[in-house]
Amino acid sequence: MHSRRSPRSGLATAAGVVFALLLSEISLRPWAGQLYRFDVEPVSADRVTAQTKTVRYYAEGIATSHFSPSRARLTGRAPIADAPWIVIMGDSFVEALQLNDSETMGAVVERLAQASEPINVRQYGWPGASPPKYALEGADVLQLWNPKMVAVIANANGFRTRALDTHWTKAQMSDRNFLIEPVTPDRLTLPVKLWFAMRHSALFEIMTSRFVLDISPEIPRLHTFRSTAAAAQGTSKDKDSGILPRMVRLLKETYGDRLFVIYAAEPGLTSTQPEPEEIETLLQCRVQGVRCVSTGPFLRDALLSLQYFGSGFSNSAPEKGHYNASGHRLVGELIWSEYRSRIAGAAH
Amino acid sequence: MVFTSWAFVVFFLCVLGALTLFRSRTSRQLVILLSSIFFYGYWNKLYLLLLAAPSVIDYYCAIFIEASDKPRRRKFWVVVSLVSNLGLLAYFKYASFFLSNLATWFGRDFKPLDIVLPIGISFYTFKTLSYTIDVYRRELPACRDWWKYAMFVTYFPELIAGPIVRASVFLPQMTRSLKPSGKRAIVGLELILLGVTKKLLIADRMAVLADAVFDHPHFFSPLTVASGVVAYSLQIYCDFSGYSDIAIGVSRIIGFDLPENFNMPYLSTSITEFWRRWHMTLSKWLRDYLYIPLGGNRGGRSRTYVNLMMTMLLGGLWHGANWTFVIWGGLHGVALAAHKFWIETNNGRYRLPKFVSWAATYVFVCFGWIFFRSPNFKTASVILRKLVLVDRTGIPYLYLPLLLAIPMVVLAHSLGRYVGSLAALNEGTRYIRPPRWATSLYRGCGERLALKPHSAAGYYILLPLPGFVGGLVVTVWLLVLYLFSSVNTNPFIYFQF
Repeated sequence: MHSRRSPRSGLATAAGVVFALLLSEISLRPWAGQLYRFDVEPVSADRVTAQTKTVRYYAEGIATSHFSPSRARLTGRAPIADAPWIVIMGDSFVEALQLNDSETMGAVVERLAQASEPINVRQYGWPGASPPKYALEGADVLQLWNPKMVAVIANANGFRTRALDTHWTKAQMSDRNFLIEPVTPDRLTLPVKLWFAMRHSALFEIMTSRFVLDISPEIPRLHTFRSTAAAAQGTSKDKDSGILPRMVRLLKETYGDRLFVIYAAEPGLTSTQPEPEEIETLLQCRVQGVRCVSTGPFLRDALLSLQYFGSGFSNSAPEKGHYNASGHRLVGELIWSEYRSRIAGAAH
Repeated sequence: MVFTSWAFVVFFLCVLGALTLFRSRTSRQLVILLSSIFFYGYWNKLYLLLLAAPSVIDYYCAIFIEASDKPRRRKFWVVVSLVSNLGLLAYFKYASFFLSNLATWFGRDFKPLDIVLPIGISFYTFKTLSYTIDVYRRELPACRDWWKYAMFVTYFPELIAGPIVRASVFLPQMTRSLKPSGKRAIVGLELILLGVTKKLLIADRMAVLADAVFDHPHFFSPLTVASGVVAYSLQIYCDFSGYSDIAIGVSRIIGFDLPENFNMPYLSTSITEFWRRWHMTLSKWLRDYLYIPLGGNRGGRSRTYVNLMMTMLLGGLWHGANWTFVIWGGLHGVALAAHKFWIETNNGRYRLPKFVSWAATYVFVCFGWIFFRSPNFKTASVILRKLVLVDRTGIPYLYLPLLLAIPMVVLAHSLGRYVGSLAALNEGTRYIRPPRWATSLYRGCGERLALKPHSAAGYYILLPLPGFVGGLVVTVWLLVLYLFSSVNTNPFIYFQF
C-alpha cells in the first residue's frame, strides 16, 4: 500500500505536539520551583520577615512546602516575638519536601512547646549535605538566632567518606580537623547551570530535574552528581573509619554545649539490629560529651508493636526513604524532650 | 540485558544499523544470529554453551528423524532430543529442589547445590522441544540450514521470556528480506511504547507495594494485604504482557511476527477463558505437547480431569522449583476440571450473571497469585489469615499509585473490549478492516488493523492517530512516561522462570 502524508497532515501533527507541550507547561507550573533548592541566599541573610518561596513536590509523598530565601524550611506558624529559638539542621530529612509545613519536626516541637514555654524553630535542610556544611554555617546560625539548642539530624551518609564531598561543601581531612570549602555556583555541574538558564519553563525544569536526579544515575558515566573525589577516595569501611569521630568533634567545636545530635536511623522492614554507624555515632558522642540519641530503637519498636511506619509515603514503599509525618513527629518529640531536660537541668 | 535498560537501547540500535548496512537476506540473518549470541552472552558467556548443546543435538535429531522411515529409529531420536532437553532443564532448574525434598523425606540435612539457573532455559527448552516433536509428527520439515535453525533457537527478542515461538511459526518467515521498513517500525514502536508503559508505569510501581506485602505480610493490615495482592495481579500482568509487547514490537521492526501472548486475561468470565487469554503461547504449548499426548478429553470424563490436573501441575512446576508453584498449578487444574464438569453437567441450564462470573474468576486468579508470589507456605498462610480476617492486626498503608493504576487498566481493557466488539463484526477474514472512523489511522503506515477475529488487541489503534490528535496523544503519552515511570526498574518477573 503506497501512501504519502500531506504537508497539511504533518503541520496538524506538529500543531498537536506544540499544543501538548503548552498544555504540559501550564499543568506542570504549580509543580515547578525545585530549582530554588540550589539557588539560595546565604544563611547570614535569613530573616523571619522575608518573602516565602513555595515548592510543590510529588515524587515521594505529595506536599507543599514553604522556604525562606535562605532555604529555612518554615513551620507554618509565624515566629513568636521574644521566644527563644531552636535551630534544626540536616539534609533532605530536614528539608522534608515530602511533608506540609505543619507536619515537619520543627512544627511538632513548636506545638509541643506551646503548652509550657513557647519557642520558635528555624530548620535548615540541604539535600545531600553533611556535618562540614553544618559546621560551615555555624557562625552565621549562632549569630543570627542565638539558639538555645542546635539539633543536627544526620544519618549514616553523614559519617561516611562521601560526606566529605557533597555539592554544598568540599572537605579535606587534616590531622585533627577538616579544611572545608563551600561549593560556589561556578563549581556547579553543567546540568545545574542549565537548570538556572531554563528556569522559566516549568516543563523544562521538571524534565531536567527528572533527568539529573532520577535518570542519569542509571546511565553509566553520565552521573553528573557523582563525585569523582569521593570515588577516588573510595568508600570502603577502612577509609570511613576515623571520619565519624572527627565529624562529631567538628560539630562539637562549632556548637559547643548547644549541640544535640539525632541519628536518623533507617531500619526498614527487615532490620532488627542497630546500624553500625548508629552504634558508632552514639559511642563517639558519649566519648566526646555530646548529647545524642538515635531514632532507631523507637522506629523498630513502632514497627514491631505494629503502631506506625516512620518512613514511606502514599506513593512510595513503606519504611523506605525519607521520614513521613510519623517519623517527623518522633524526631520532634525527641528534640522537645531533650530541650525540656536541658531547661530543667539549667533551673536546678 | 533487560529490554528497559539503556544497554538494550544501544544494542538494538546497533542491530538495526547493521541490518540496514547489509543487503542480502543471508547476511541479515547472520547479523541477527550474531546479535542474539551477543545478547545471551552479555549475561553469561559460559551459558552460551548450554544454549548451543541442545541446539546442535536437536538440529541433528530432527534431520535423523526426518531421514528415517522406521518408527523405532524415529522414536529413538525424538527420545534423545527429549532426554537431552529435559535433562538439562531438570539439572539446572529442579536438581536442588528434588534433592532437598528427598533429603527432607529421609530426614537428612541437605546443602543446596550451587547451580545458577540459566536465564530463559524454560522458554528455549520448550521452543526446541516443539521443533523435534513437530518434525517427528511430520508436521514440519527438518531445517537443513544450521544458521537458520540456530537463529530460531537464539532469536533474541523472545529468547529469555517468550512468547514461546514454535518452529512452524518462525522458520517459514525466514524467506523474508528482513529489510528494515518504516511501516513495520511504526507498528513495532507502538508495541514497544505500550510494553514500556505497562512495565515502567504500572508493573514497577505496583511492585513497590506487592514486594513489601509479600515479603513482610505480618506488618500490614488486612486491607493493605488485600491491596497488595491486587497490586501483584496488576504487576505480573503488566510486567509479563509488557515484556511480550516489547518482544513482539522489537521483532516486528526486525521483520518477524511473533504470536500474541496475552489478550486481556482479567476480562475472563471463567478460568477456562482465562487460560485462553493468559500466556497464550504456553497454554497452547501445554495443550499440544502435554495435554493432548496424555489423552486430552478422549478417555472419558474422569480421565480428562486427570489429564487437566497433570498438565496444570506440570505447568506450575515449569514456572519454578517450589511447591508453591505446584500448588498454584494444582489450584488451576482443579478449577479447570470443575469448570469443565459444570459446563458438561449443567448444559447451559443455569447461567451466572456475567459480573458474578467475572468477579469469581478474578478473585480465584488472585487467590492463585498468593501461592505463586509467596516465597513459601508460611508467607501464603499469613496472607490468607489476614484476608479471611483471622488476623486483623497490622499497619494500614494506602498506596495511591494502585488507585491510579486500576482505572488505567480498566480504561485500556474497556477500549480493547470495544475494539474487540468491532472486530467480531468482521469475522471470517484473517486481517479485518478497521471501523470506518479508524480507516485513516493505518493509511500512513500502510498497515491494516491487525486484529484477528476474537482477538481484541485494541492497542493497535492508539498511536497512529493522524494529525492534531495524534501529535497531542503521543506527546502527552511520552511526557507521562518520562516523568512518572519507575526508574529503578526491576528485572522482568518471568526472567526467573
